[in-house]
Amino acid sequence: MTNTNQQIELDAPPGTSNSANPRLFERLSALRNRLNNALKGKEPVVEHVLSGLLARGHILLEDLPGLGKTTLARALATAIGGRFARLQCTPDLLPNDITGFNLFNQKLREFEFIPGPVFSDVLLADEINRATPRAQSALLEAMAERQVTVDNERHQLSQQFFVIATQNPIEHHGTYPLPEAQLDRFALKLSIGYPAPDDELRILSSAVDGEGDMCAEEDTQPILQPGELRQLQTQVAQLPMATTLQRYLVDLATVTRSDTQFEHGLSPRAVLIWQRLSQARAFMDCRSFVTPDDIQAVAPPLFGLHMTGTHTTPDEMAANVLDQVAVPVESAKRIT
Amino acid sequence: MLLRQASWTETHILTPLLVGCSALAGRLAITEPGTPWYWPPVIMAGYFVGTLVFSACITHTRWFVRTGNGREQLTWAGTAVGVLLLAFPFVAGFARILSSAHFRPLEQTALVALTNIAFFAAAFTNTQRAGSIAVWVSFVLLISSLMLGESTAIVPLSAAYGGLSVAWLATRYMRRVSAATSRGAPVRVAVVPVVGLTLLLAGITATSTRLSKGIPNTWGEWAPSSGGSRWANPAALLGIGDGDWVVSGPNAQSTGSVDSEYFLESDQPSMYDVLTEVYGDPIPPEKMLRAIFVDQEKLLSQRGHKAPHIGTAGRQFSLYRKGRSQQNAPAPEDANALLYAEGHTPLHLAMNVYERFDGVNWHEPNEEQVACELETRESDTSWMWLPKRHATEMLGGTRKHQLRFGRLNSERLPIPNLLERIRLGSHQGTSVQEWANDVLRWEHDGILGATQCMPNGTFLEVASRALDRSALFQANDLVGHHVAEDHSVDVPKHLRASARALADGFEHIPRGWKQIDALLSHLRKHFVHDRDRLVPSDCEDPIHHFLHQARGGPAYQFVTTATLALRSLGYPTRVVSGFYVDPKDYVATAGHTPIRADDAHFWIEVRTIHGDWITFDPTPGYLNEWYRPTLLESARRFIVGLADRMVAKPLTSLAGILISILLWWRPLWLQERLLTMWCLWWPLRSSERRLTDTLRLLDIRSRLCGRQRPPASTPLAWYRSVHNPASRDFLQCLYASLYGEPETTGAAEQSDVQQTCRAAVRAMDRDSLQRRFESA
Repeated sequence: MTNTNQQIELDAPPGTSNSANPRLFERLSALRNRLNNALKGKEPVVEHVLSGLLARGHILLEDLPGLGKTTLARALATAIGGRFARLQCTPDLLPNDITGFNLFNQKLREFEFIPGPVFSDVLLADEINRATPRAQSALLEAMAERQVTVDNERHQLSQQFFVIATQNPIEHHGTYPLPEAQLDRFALKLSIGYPAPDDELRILSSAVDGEGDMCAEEDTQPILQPGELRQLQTQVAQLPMATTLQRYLVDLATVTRSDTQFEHGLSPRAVLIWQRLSQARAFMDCRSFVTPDDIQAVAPPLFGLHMTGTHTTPDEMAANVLDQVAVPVESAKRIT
Repeated sequence: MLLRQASWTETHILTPLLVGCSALAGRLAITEPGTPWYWPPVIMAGYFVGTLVFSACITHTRWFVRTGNGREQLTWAGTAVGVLLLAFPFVAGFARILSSAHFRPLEQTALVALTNIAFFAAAFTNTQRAGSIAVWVSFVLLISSLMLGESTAIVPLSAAYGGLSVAWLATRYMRRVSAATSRGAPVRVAVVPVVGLTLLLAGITATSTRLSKGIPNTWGEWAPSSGGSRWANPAALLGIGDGDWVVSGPNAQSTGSVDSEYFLESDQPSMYDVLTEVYGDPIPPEKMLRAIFVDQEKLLSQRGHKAPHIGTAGRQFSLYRKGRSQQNAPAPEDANALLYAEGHTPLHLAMNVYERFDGVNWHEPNEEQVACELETRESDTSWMWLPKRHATEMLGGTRKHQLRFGRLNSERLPIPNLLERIRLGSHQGTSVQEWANDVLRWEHDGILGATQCMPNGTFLEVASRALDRSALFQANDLVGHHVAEDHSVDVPKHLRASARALADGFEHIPRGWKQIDALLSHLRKHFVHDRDRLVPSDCEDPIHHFLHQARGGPAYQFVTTATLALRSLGYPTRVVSGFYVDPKDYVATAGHTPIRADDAHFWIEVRTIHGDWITFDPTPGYLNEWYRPTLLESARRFIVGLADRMVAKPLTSLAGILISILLWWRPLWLQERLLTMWCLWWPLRSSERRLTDTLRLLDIRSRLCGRQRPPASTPLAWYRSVHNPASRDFLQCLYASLYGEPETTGAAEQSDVQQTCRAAVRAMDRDSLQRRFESA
C-alpha cells in the first residue's frame, strides 16, 4: 500500500534549492504559522490549503459543523490580505447577489454596475451547498475564467481571485449538491476531522487565555503585501517538472479513466491542477524540482473532489490508482 | 463476490472452452484422410497442456506480462512468443516447400496459425482484452472450419460453441453491468437465451440436414465466400479458391453468382437451390469426392438437362441449364497414375540396377535370381521381414510408405532403398508369407521382382531405414573399397581420361562421403537438367560432351558422368533406375502422391563396406531422402552430445554446473554480489547511471530482506526509515538527478556522486535494512 499522506522530508541538495526571493519564503512560513495557529494540530490540512492557494486552485472544505472550516477560511483570507468578501449561501441567494448587477442611477441617468462579492481577492463561500444550482452556477465563470458577464458585459475579476468554500456533508434538507461541473472548478476537497486530544486541549487553553472567540490583534493583520501572492503563484507555475513525471501523471490519469471501479476518470483540467499542486508542494519544500512524492501527496484531496467510485474514501481511491502505476526511476532529462 | 466469480468463469472456463471447440473443429477440418480419429483430440490436449504451462508462467513470472499505465502489457518476450506462434505455421510451410516435403494449402496453414493465436490469447487469463481477442479469433476459426471441413463432428462442436458463446456474452454483459453500478448487481447466466439459441442452432442444423445432406456445407455457406474469383487451388473446398469451377467443378455446392455463365451452364445443383427450391437430386459431396478416383466421365456425361418447372413467380434467372461442354470437364488430377505413394517424400523407388557401361548403354549385372526368404515375427504377423540386416552407424529411424498399384504393369516391384520389411495390405498369416516367398524374388541386390504383375489396386506397404546425413558424413570408414571381381568400379578405357579429369578436381578432399558429395554437388550446381539435350549418336565420349559442350542433359547423363567419375576415384558405384516420388505432386485432398511415367528417373548408389548401397542423386532438382530427426530425437542427441563433452572436460563442466546451480538456487544473492562490486568499483559510468545502479542494488537488498519495494512506491517513501546521512545524501542526489534540472544536477561533481553512492552502498547493507524494516 502506498503511503499517500507522507510528509516530504527531502531537503534540497546542494545547488538545487529554490532560487526564489527569501523574503517570499519568510512570508510563506509566516502564513503557514498563522494558519496552524488558527487550526491547531491540522498541519497536513494547512499544507494542502497552502498548496491549493499557490496553485491558484479553489478549495472546498467539507466536514461536520464546528470543526474549523470557517475559521480556517477566515484566517487564510485575512492573512493573504487583499479584498475579502464573505458569501453566506442560502436558498434565496440570487446570481446577481454574487456577481453584481446594473442599477439605474437617476442622477446620472445611466445604468451603474454594482459589483458583487466575487469582485474580491478572497471569497469565502460559506455553506455553498445551501445555494440553489442557479446561484451556484453564477460562480462557474468566475472560478474558471476569473471574469463575470452581467447583461452581456464582461467584467474582469482580480487575478488572484481565490474561492474557499465550505459545505456540510450530513445535512441534506434544503441543500443542493454541487454539480460535477462546479466540483471540477475546485482543486481540492479537504476534510478537517476531529482534533487529537492534545490539540483539543491546546484549543481550550488558548480560549481561556485569550478573549473568547475574539482574535488577537496580530492575527487580523495581513501577512502578504499586495502583489506578493501573485509573485508566489507565478514562481510556482514556473517550477520545472521532468518529462518522466508528466508521463507518470498521464499514466495515472489513464488508470482513472480505464478502471471500471470509477464512474468517470480525471478530466484534463484536473490533471493540470494536479501538476500545479505538485509544483506548489515542491515550492513549499524549497525545492527547484517536482518529485513523485509531491504527486502522490496531493492525490487524496484531489481524488476526493474529482473522482467517484466504489471506493469509499479518497485515500482508498488514491491508493488504488497509485498502486497501479510504477514510479519512474529512469532518467529522462527533458525538463519543461 | 459474484462479480469475481463471473469474471473467473469467463476467463478460466468459457474462454478456454470456446477456443477448444473452435480449435478442435479447425483441426478436424484440416485433418488429412487416413489420420486416426484420436489424433485431433490428442493435438488439442497438447494445446491445452501448453496453454496451462504458459498461463502459469504468465501468472508466476514477469517474463511475458508487465504492468504499465495501469494495465497489463505484453513484454518483448510475450510479443515474441505471439509472433512466433503466428508465424511458425507459415514459416514451417515455407520450409516444407523448400525442402520439397508435402505442400499444405494456405488456408490450412492459416487455420493452424489462428489456433495458435487463440490459445496464446486464452493463456492470458488475467487480461479481459486478451480473452476477447481469444474469443473473436476462435469465432473466425470456427467459421473457417465450417467452410473448409467435411467432418460431421464439426456440427456438434459448432452447436456447443453457439451455446458457450451465448453464455460468454451473457456473463460478460452482466459483469459490465455490475461493474457500472456501484452496488454490484447479482450476476446470473442468462439460461433462457442460452437454451433458446442452442435450440435454434440445433433446429437450423436439423433442417439443413434434411435439405442438403451436407450439414457443414450449409453452415459454411453462411460465411462470406470468394466464390466467383478466378483464383484456383486444386486442394480447395467449398467455394474458396475454386476458380473457374465455382459451380460446375467437383465442388457443386459452392455459392456462385446466380446469373453467371458458370451457373447457367452447370447441370449441378448449387447452394441457391438447396436454400430455396430443390430440383433434381443433389449429389452428395462425399460422392463427388470419391468421384475423383472413380469414373469421372460418367458423372459428367449428362448434357442438356432441363430442370422441372416449379412455377414460382418472380424468378430472375433461367432454370434451364445448357450443360457443360465436354472440353470443360475437370480432369482428375491423379487419375491414370502408375502408382500412388503415401508417406514421406521425396522418395526413390528402385526398379532396376545397372553395373556395366559400354560407352553407349548401361547393362544389368549378370546375377542369378535369389529367393526372398521373407520371415514373419510373432509380434506382428502381417509384416514380412527381410533377412538382411543393415549397418546401423549411419541409419536414422524407420519410415513407412504405402504403395497402391495403378496402371503399372511390371514384374518388378518399386521399393525404396535399405528395405527392412514389407506387407501386402492388411493380410496376415503364414499363407501370405508362403505366397510371397513363392512369388517374390531378388532380381539383383536391392531389386525386388515377382513372377507376375501386381494387379491394379494392390496395396504394398514397405518399411525402410532412412539415412542420417550427419551420421553418414562422420563415418568415412564405411565407404566401400574395390574388391576382386567387382564390376562396380569399371570404367571404359576410352572414357577414363574424361572421368579422371572431372575426378581430379576433387582429389584434394579426403576420401569419404564428403568427397562424393562434393563431386555430386558440383554437377548439381554447374550443370543443367534438360531432357532435350541428348548426346549425338556419333559421339564417342559422352562424358566430355556432357562436361564441356552440352553443360547439361537428361538424368541418365548426370548419373553416367557421376558414376564414372566416382569409379575413377575408387568408389564402387552403380546406376539405378526407377521412379522419383516428387513432393510437388502431392494431392492434399487424397493424401497421396501419384506417380506417372514422367516420374521415371535415374540415380546412383555407392556401396559401403558392409555391402549396403547408399542412394545419391546427382541431378539438379531431385532431392535425397535424408532422415530428419524428430524433436525428441534431436533433444536426445543434444543431451548425449552434452554428456560426451562433459566427460571430456570434467573441470569445465563442474564449474558450469556449480554456476548453474548458484544461478538457479540463489540468483538474487548472486545478482546482489555482482551489482555491489559493480557499484563500488566500476569507474566508467555517468553520474545518473551510478545513481540508478545504486538504487537497483538497494532494491535487490530490500528484496533479499523480504520487503521488495513495490513499483508504485517512491524510493524516498520506501527508504525513509533508514535514518542515516548516507541514505539521505544518496536520495537527494538521486532525486536531483532523476527529476531535477540538468544544470542543477550537473553542479554535483562526479566524484561527489561517486562518494555518495559508495557511502550508501556500504551504509545501507542488508543488515541495516533488515533492522530498519523490522523497527518500522
